[in-house]
Amino acid sequence: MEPMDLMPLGAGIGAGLAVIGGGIGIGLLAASACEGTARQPEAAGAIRTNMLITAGMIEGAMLLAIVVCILLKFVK
Amino acid sequence: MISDAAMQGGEVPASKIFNDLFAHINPQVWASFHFLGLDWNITNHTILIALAGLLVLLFFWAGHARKRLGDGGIPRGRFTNLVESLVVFVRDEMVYNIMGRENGRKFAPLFLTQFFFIWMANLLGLIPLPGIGGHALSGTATSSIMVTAALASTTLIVMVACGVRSSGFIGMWTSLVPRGVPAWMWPLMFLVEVLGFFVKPFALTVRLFANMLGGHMALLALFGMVYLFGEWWVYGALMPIILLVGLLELLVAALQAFIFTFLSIIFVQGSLHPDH
Repeated sequence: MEPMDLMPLGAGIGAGLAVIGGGIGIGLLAASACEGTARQPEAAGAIRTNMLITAGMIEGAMLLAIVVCILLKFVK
Repeated sequence: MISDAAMQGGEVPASKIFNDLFAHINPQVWASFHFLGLDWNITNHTILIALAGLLVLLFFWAGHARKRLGDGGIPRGRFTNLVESLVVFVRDEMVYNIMGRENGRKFAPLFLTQFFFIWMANLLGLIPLPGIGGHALSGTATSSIMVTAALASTTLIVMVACGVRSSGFIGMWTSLVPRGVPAWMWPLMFLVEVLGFFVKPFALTVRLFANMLGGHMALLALFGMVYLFGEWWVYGALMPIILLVGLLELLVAALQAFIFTFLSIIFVQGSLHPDH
């Protein structure tokens, strides 16, 4: 088994690891957003807007890693 | 086709399933043009972005407020009010909030275009469109990195243009580095800031591309389970999951359009007023 045959395995492991970081980050974000809304329900709209925007950015970083993993599948 | 091979009781190789399913993701070429060593093929993605633009035009033409005499110019009608509520949301909550009214007035058309075009292109990917004469039309335009790179380059061009207009050709790059940086650290900070300037539209590209591609790959993988099992009831058993993922895709379509536009507004505002 050549070392290069392990590339799909590396892609799979890399994707899984990337999602761990993204999941923890967005989970923390959601936790503080819920707490902020619980403390002050009038700010729910503003908190929700900020939450969605920052969730999108964290996911963007996570998806950069996923794209690298996809590229690994298509490099010979 | 895959079903023929499976009907004869043979094993269907995974690569065949891959190719057949991913016809939804790979661009399907309708007409092939090669010019100056580059390929200028007309693919289904090309037709889809034209279709998305046409549909956005139609949406706004059908929804523009027709003034009626004696009404005081108040738009009437449910569709007009729908269009107006969306436009006012993007213009007031997003553009005017960040850029202020005078600057926002100049740039609102760009961001409105980006928002509605991306949303329409994302939504068109969720509709199974019939192809003509052996060419497939169904697909997501924004799941091609070329399309999202073109969209992000509109933001990049506006960022550079605004920076040049506000600080001059050289001043735009020197104003990237924050004030109060000691002289020995300045070259390193300059490199980092220039890299950060160009990574912002790149992140816009990859975020939209990967979100759209990933969502559709997940849906296709679920559909592909039918081929793996070979039984007809697998599709029925998976239907709730596929439905939920499809609904999530609806949310992601709108959300990614919102995030793209919002970040574009922030980047352009950062180029217009680098001291903020």
